[in-house]
Amino acid sequence: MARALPPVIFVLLRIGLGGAFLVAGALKAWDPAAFQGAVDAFRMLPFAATAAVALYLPWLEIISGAIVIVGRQGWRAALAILGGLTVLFLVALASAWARGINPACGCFGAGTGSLSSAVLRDLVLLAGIGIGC
Amino acid sequence: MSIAPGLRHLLVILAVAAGPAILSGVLHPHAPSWRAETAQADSVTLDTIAGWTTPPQWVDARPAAAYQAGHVPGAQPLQLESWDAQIQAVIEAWRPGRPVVVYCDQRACQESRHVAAALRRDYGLDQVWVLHGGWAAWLARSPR
Repeated sequence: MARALPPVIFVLLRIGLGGAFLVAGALKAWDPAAFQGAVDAFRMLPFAATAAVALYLPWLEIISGAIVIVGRQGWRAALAILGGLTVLFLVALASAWARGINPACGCFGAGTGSLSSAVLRDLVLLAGIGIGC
Repeated sequence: MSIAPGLRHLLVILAVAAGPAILSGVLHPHAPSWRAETAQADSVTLDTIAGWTTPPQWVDARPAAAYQAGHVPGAQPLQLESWDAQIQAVIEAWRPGRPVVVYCDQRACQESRHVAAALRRDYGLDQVWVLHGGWAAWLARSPR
């Protein structure tokens, strides 16, 4: 589907998507302990696993986002990784909603609205990734 | 695009990301904890609190919506983003020698630790603790 896009639009899409994940990953990598709290709020993983996710996921986002921005070798694989992460997060959000858990709890500063806004944000990202592929 | 090169790129990216992740775990000053019991060095359990001769002053560091939905009886809300509006009530309720226990929702919640640190640093309160297990631990002990 990417080949049907005008080149300028395609470049802007890559920069936008890659940049969004790069910035998101950088913010998480800045304070992994705080991100661990956000991961743990979903109550889906053993505590030790939340530490591993809090360390690894931000750097996966940063590196994949940077590769997508550059658009050279491996950018499709990087985009697939980001798509996979987005799907995983949507599954986690759906699981939290189904169990009546609000993982916001101060991590995003908002109340009940943050769960739906997070879902909407990730669906938009997933659509962009689908277009980019 | 053939599958093999794409898979190779994917595996390389996954492997490369592990490097800085491991370094972060070793060197980052805010590295995550691997054990919930050590996540909060200044934490206290409900069992310990039950043995105190002086009941604690409870402080709820969760968002306002969570506090409104339910909280430890007598707990006062205190969030960093609403500090100026809420701190006075907390300080007025405090008495010398009475321990303060701050709680939030998660096993690794940072909000209660930040609130506890601010109470110690800015107001000189010396007996400020963070509830181990947070609100979830209270609920487990006192199911609604």
